[in-house]
Amino acid sequence: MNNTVSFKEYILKTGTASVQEYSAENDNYVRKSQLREIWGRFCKNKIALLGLICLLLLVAMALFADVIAPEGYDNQDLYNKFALPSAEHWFGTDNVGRDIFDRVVHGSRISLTVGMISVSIAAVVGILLGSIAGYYGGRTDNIIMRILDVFMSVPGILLSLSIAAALGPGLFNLMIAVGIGSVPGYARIVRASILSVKEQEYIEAAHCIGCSNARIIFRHVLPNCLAPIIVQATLGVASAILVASSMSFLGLGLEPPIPEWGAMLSVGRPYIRDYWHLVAFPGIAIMITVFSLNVFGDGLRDALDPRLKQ
Amino acid sequence: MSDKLLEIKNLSIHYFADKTVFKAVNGVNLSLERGQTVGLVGETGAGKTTTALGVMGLIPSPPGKVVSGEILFEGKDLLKMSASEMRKVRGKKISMIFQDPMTALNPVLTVGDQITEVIKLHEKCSSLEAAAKAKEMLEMVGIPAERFSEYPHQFSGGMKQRVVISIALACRPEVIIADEPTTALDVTIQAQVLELMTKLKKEIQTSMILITHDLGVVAEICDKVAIMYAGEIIEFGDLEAIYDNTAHPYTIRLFGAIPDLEKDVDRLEPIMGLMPDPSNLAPGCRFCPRCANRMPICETTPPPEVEVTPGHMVKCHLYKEGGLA
Amino acid sequence: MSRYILKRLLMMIPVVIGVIVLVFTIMYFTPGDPAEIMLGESATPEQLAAKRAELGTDQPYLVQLGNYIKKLVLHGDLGTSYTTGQSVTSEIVAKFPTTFKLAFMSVVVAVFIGVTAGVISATKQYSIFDHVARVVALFGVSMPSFWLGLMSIIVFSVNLGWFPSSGFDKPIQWVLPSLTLGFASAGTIMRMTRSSMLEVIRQDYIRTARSKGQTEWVVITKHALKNALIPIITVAGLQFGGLLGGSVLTETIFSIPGIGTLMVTAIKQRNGPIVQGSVLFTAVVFSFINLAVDILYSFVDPRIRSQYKSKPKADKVPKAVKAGKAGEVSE
Repeated sequence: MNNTVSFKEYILKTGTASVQEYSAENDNYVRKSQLREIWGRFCKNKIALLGLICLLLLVAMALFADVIAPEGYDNQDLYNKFALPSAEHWFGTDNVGRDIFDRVVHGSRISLTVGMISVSIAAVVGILLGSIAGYYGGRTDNIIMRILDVFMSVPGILLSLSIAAALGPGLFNLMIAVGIGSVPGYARIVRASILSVKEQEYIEAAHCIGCSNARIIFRHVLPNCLAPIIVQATLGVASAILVASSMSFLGLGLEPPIPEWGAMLSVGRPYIRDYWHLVAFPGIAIMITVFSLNVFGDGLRDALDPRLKQ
Repeated sequence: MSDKLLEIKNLSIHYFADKTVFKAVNGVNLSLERGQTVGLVGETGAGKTTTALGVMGLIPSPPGKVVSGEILFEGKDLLKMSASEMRKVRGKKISMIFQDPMTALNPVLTVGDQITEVIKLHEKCSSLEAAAKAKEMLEMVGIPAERFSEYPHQFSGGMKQRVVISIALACRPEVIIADEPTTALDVTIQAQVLELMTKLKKEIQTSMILITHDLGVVAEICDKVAIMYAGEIIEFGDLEAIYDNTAHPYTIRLFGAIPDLEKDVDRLEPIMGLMPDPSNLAPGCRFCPRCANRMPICETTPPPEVEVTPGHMVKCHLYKEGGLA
Repeated sequence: MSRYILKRLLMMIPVVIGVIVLVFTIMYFTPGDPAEIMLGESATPEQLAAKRAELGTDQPYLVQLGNYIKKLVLHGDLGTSYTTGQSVTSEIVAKFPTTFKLAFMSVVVAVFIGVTAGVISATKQYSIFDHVARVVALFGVSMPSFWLGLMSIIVFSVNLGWFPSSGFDKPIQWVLPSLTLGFASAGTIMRMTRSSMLEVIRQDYIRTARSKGQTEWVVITKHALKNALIPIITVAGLQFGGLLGGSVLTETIFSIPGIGTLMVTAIKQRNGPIVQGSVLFTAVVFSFINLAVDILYSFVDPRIRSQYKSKPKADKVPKAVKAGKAGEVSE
């Protein structure tokens, strides 16, 4: 942390005495080197690096699904049902002769989208509620936190299931149903960080120079709890993908022919006595995706906060 | 030679981390005679605690490792003992009082349990007898036996240290290693605890290695003094020899840094500079960069151990056998 | 202590009311007319209107909610199933023991595997066992439990024929469901045990225990594990709740007649009272588990015990412990 140039040195070096310029340049300098430091720590963690690479490959697969599997995901071939994995059909075909590999590739789009958007919904709502609760405190805090307690006391999947039942099937409804359950988690993180930052002197200083509440929250307080939120969100995408696939499996999320991995498992389930490949590959796809996100998130946490690392 | 109870010979302990080696203890020689108290004095990070843990066989490994040396206890090398032999020594023959009583006791076990444990481990007796003995120990260190089934959080810092002492003394060990037993305590409590320790030491006739950076404490209770710097013992001798005929420049400066009630000085004289980085030790004398008397030879050659007067060892190029060079 | 429990029970009341309102509201907005579900499509408009009046579904939202709470509080009545016409309470009470047994056995499996593996991993940090156990745990956490269930049916029922693939009456039928449901939780508990133990092993009092000449086994089991237990218990408690919910999938896969299958069927049939009742019942059980966890803390840690005893605002410590550790749980 010797990177910061002292203000005096800065004046001597540049011949200007603008505090603003100094702090802006220096801030930038520090931030950049901090990022590099975090990246350096992250790279030391081999398995987290592997997770990141897998994740990038998955994102590439989702982006270029049409190139990798140009036939699309709903190309039925009833003469070729239940084909075992072969050179032509890498993962075999399903009960109506669709190529499972193509479906898994296209499914990555859905799983990643559902995961990311539902987490974004949860994070935005959670951060907002947490900020309000933590910053204003008192009765506001009490009311918000008690409501969140209610949400937390229902096991996540049951909550998602009942919301999905109320909203009906569909991609966006599924995202909401999956997202709502994790709102309290973000709210709690943000609230806790705000409570610890609130009393610090630089917040008092911000008040003194007349900053608005919103500005203080967004400019001064929230950046301080960014690290845990990023980690929570990464791990959150992982569990959102799990929940979404569970719901589709139960028939309460997305329905065939949409190549949602959970829905594909649901399609293959009646045939598991004879054809293992119908359920094996979509499940492996879920596992690899969630695994990558989990190790990436873990690595990120260790890199962002080296004190937590063992 | 025969009355040497514990003899540390050329002990070196290093910590290995990533690609760096931290040379915490480098060729330490130290001996303790029956009934004596040896003071091991040095700054924070001089390797005092590591030496003590080395004797106990409790160097955290990895990353720590004893790289060379012998620790002879009653003629047997502790470093060559098997794990189970060593367990019979720890707590029974040699025991240790740790620096911070706040963290040295297990928070989820009663103090009684924690004292009874060591008695049951080393003495053939029933649980009831062990508990009775543990209560005796509590009374001995000045804690009413009724507090036997209380938990550490119900005790104050000084009381906790008394419990730690009673654990260490419960099996009447031959050697006690006390690692800065009073540093974490209030000044008034410090005196009480020290008094208690010297009293008990006499009562159970044991020998002690007292690790401290308080030269005042050393003067009060030690027979011999070893001054440690950067993992080496740079001066060793009787209390009088060290205090009255101080030889090593470092020791001289250490005494210079103590306030003296009789002399009226405006400022104490600090020793400038810091301890050398144990991962990057200079080839010559370790103290040389901070030394006011340094000579060209100090930077290149490590000083040998010389005996300035019988029993008074110094590691410094200023001296040769029998006196000044 | 009993005062503390009483206080916690009182604190549970508003949460339970909150859950009732939440679940009722969700179900209120669920599409589908109960009267139509009960009478079928052939019913005349007059019959439908009469049925709605009988069920009270033609009343405004608040009146319906009030009636629901009133019946529940006064008679323990959760309404009537639209499809079978039976009391929801009796259906749930009949099915719940199965679900609880499944979740409980899974927790036992998870705690046993997780704690054992976590302790070994921590004491032999960076050994081969540690590396393998951590990767397996990560895979466990990353696997959908229902997929693991399907695969275990393929391997152990279909191919090897060792265990049956459905039912939950005989002990041999318990093996696959509880193992597959507990596996992910075992991973979570293993990770928490490992990190908690690593933290504890570094403490001074462990060195003290070793300096007494204590054997490594006792140092680990008596001195270290007991101190590492609080976060482990917290996670295990949360997992128990998660497993009660997760049993929805496991029950479906292994055709186990519990709350989970009851609820999934009910959702598909738009059988509101059953869904409401099941969610509510599970949430209340989950709250009790949380309370049990907090009480368990005091048996493990005397510092928490004395807090419960002395100060009236006793719930502060376990809450702080929980909040601190909850962030480490991924779900």
